[in-house]
Amino acid sequence: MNESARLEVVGRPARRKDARDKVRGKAGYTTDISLPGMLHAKALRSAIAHARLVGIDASAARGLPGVHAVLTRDGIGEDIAPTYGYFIKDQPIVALDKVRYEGDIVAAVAAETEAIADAALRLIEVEYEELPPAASIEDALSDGAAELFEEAPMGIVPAYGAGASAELRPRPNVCYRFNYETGSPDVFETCDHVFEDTFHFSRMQHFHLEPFAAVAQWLDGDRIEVSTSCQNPFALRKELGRVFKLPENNISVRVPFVGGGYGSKNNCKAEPIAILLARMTGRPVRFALTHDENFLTNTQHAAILKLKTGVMNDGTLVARDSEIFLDSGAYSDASPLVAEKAGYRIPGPYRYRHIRTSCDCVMTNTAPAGPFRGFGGTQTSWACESQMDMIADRLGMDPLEFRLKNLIDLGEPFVPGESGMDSDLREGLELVAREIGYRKRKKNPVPNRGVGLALGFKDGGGVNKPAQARIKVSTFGDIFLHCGTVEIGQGAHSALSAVVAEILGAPAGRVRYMPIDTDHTPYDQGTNASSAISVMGQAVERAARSLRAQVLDFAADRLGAEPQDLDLEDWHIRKGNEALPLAPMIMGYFGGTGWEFAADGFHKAETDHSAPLETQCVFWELGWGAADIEVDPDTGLITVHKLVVSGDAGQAINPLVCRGQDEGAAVMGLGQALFEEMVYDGTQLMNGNALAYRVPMAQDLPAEFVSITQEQGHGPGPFGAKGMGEGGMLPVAPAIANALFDATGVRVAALPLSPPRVKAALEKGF
Amino acid sequence: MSPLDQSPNMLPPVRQLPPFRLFRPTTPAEAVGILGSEETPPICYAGGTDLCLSVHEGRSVSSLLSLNTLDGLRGAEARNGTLAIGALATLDELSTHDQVTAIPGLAEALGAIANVRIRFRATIGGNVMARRTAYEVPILLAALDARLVFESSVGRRELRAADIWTAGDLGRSLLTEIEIPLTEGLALDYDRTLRPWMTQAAATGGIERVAVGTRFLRPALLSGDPGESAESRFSGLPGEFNDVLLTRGYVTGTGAALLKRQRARLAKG
Amino acid sequence: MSDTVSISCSVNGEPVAAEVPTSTTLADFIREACGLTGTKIACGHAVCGACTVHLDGVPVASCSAYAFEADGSEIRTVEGLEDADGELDPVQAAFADLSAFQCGYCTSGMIMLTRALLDRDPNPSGETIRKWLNSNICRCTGYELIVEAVARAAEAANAGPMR
Ligand SMILES: Cc1cc2nc3c(=O)[nH]c(=O)nc-3n(C[C@H](O)[C@H](O)[C@H](O)COP(=O)(O)OP(=O)(O)OC[C@H]3O[C@@H](n4cnc5c(N)ncnc54)[C@H](O)[C@@H]3O)c2cc1C
Repeated sequence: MNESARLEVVGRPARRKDARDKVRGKAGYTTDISLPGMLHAKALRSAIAHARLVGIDASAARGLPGVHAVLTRDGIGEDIAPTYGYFIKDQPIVALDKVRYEGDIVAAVAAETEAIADAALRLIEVEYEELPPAASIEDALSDGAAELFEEAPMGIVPAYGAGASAELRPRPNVCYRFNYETGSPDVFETCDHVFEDTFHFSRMQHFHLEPFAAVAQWLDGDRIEVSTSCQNPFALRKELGRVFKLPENNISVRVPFVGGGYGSKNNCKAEPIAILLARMTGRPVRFALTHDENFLTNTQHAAILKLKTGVMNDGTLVARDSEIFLDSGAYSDASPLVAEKAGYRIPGPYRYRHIRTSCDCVMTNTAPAGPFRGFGGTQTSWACESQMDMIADRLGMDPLEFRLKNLIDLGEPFVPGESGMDSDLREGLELVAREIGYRKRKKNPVPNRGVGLALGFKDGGGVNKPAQARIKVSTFGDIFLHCGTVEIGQGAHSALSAVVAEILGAPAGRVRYMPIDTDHTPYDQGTNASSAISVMGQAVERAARSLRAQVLDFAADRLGAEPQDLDLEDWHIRKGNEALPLAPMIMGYFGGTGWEFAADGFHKAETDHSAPLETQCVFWELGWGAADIEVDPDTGLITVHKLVVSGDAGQAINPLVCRGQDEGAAVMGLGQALFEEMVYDGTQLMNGNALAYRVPMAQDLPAEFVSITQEQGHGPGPFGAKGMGEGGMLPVAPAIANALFDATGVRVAALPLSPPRVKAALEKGF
Repeated sequence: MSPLDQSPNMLPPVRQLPPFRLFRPTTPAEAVGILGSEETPPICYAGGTDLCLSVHEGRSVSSLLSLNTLDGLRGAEARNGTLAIGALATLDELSTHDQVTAIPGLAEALGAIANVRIRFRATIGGNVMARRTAYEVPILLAALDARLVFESSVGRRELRAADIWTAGDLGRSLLTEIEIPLTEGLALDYDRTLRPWMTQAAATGGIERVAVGTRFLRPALLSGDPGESAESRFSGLPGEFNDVLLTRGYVTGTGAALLKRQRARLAKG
Repeated sequence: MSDTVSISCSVNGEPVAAEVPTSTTLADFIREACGLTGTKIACGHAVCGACTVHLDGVPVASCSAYAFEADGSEIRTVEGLEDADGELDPVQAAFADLSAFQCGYCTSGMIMLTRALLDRDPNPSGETIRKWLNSNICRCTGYELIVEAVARAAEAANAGPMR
């Protein structure tokens, strides 16, 4: 079907639906909400990394004029399940028996103003009994390490399919282990070489500009209304129902525009405290964290990745055995899910006869780690793509040829039971190689200058992810799109609206994306895993096609024609040369008060036990990258002369938006590669504010920065679209490390590639 | 986020201070008078770009002395063999000031600090008085052997810029001027390509002064005969010059390499 | 000495007189006293620039300035850029046309920063654009589209309103 030839809305660089509001300062975010009588909340945190909580005296704070409530563990009764989490319910709303990191919340205050709340925090006295801390993965796994949880908290292991399994708490300080295995390990015996290498991955913070924020009301004694800066309102509602022991139809979660998340804004964050304080005070409560507190709320996972890879002399990959340790911080948050993904993605998009992986979530006395753009894939792409070049070098092969030889073919399953690869991986790799001048280059034309390639890889679209959409069209053709995908910056509201407009033959401006409120919005599992277009997009597409069919059937009846002879065009029925307005037809039949057509669409990947994660992957998200760099051997400073990134959008719904996604992701990867890092001295975060924590800025852009949106057309989404937005981040760090090796013959296997680290490696000479 | 003194608790940044007493003097003398007479001296407020950070970090402000309304203490002028820079001069103003360009390299160095938006507001005096290791003006001033001139109700006091770290409480003093001796052949080269790990200022003119700044350590000042090798200049680096981001070994090796480049640039002029 | 300070200033051309606590930040004054929530507070330390407004034409991080400084001054915020008919300023139009924003939280500040640049230099070079944009943080876009939007805004403004 050559549908794209006649697309009217899809594929154009049109203004986004939110453009006008956002450039005028009129877009509403949770932090902008102000309700009559609203109180302001602030939290007191522990400055000690690991301690038993002996006692809290908040009486002076309660007595301060303007203070309406102080929440401590004493305020949490039987009517509340005091802990939350994704798979493991280990994170308390406020500290119960212990504090587990510097920044753990011990109390929260609701007061007339932020200033009063701040003053009240200073009046709270807390007595701690210090415990030895575990600051790092190595610390936490060492003999005799202090345990964060002496007893296993309540948790679940979801059903897994062929080859995959998981365990809760396989050893002390490990809350979850994911395992995957396929093929026989005996093939290692047949390998000409087996290479073992270890990689270290540093930890970033999401650095979303809108902080975690929620405005909550507790109404009529048993009803919650909460507006929140959140990526997954329905999963949040379910968790709030469990915590507050309320039916889900008594909880309304509303999500305005979200000021950035990059993964962090999933599940409970600011909401439980805001809600509990609202219940205690009977007033609306706004709990907006400061940006500094974001660093103490959710982070990326630092990791250690050990790879053992078996290969033949001719460069054929045979087997990959890997052990991954994720630094999960003090609470599990999404760590088990990240472990599942890291463990699953570590082979990369290559063909093997045997794969075995395990991935441990290691608890440490540092800020909780959670979902972060790339979701385990950033860690695994770093290790896998670095080792690809190392192996190529050891075999005397060119890294590009080595990859081309082993890449999975278009349509070939990633592993047994999986869906087929839906991008031509070689095409993408050749594209970035050409753009960086890979094949044409002379070896080291300039000393200390080199090029490197990498291919970031992840399964996209989430696991077992249901999504539902509803479309209504009024008498005069005004379109209401109801779905739960949150507008977090990615342009999903515009893209999904464009799909509807395209199918209904309407101008994009006719579609309104309705505000998200779990009371009315159809179910969606969450805005994550690059799933908006690939999963929700399919639900929206179905709803639109079903609505279109309804309208054409209706018109066919009215006109005594066959539906297939009719077309829908800007709320007119096209019949041959005639364009008949629908409104009179509708009122003629339904009466002068008119009517609304409505249709639902649903999508979920089929449950499938032969697929390791119980459903086949919806789509494969790739990021091809190439870097041309130079290193100053005297200082260790890397200059990136040119960076090329490319993703495959399948079919770009809006090319400018796709470009922005790839570029934004790539620049995040650039920061990770070169300098951006949460610096810990033991358990103490040394750079937990925006001034001290360096993120990429405009002057960090490489002299040449090229992003290419491929549209290979194989995606499962509407018009062949695939998800994107994460892929661009994945290849950047390994491409730069590979370029550094090309330039100097020195391999750096830890991030970031900071001047001191690079120089030390150059001095060591390997 | 800041542990409050020795408290075991951590408080969020204070976005909204309780109301403070606000002083808005119009002359430096009036400002000095207020600093001397109030029981708790009010906190000086210049461009505010650092003060607000320190408030967020838990500094309590019961009274504030706004310097914005002061007459004078801006600009720069050469007199009696020194370049005198007003403490309230902004980095933006100084980066194009024709008296500042009299010291080769200085205007460029000041114009490279922070960013355009901050430089409009940030004063040179505030950068010094913030006494933060990550800030760069003290590094430049140490290399230039500058003096800080303070006024207080008990009189005028001068301090070597390099001694600002050990000067103790200056809460009753107003920094009014920064004086840089205009020695024969004075020129500055400031290398900040390695920021935030380290930056390095080298000044010629008589003896060579090299100041090395890092994120967490007080700047080190290494001076001596310009003929001495770059390596031996760095042998004078304090023994404990390490932090979580870098080692002393890195600083000595890299610093010496940078110094060679700086000498070459300075020689070229 | 009183705990409050009276401020009379102009906000987007309208005279405003208010009595606020001395410690009121400029950002809170704009957002709460004036009800203009287009100015966002993000990092809180003058670093990210999401709160950038013009104070007498100078781009300032309003989260780290006090309202008392605005007494007798002119404040301009993102809400003051469009004309009375809702016609976008060329900077706003360029950001909208090029999708030079994603989540939008930095956008008001980026636009105000750009406006200040073009007010000073209507024909900035690419290097000048990057140097100025280096003042503010956007975590979403990777800056390239913003750099292009600034160049486009300058071109459009120079081409005059008739084009
Ligand atoms: C985003 C950002 C980026 C930055 N980047 C850099 C950088 O790259 N390099 C760098 O060096 N710095 C950097 N800084 C720091 C910046 O340069 C300083 O904050 C600024 O110079 C301080 O000047 P101010 O006028 O704003 O001081 P204020 O904030 O007003 O005051 C700072 C301190 O000095 C005191 N003070 C001010 N003036 C006087 C005086 N005349 N007498 C006595 N005490 C006084 C105040 O009481 C206060 O304690 C950055 C800051 C920000 C926010």
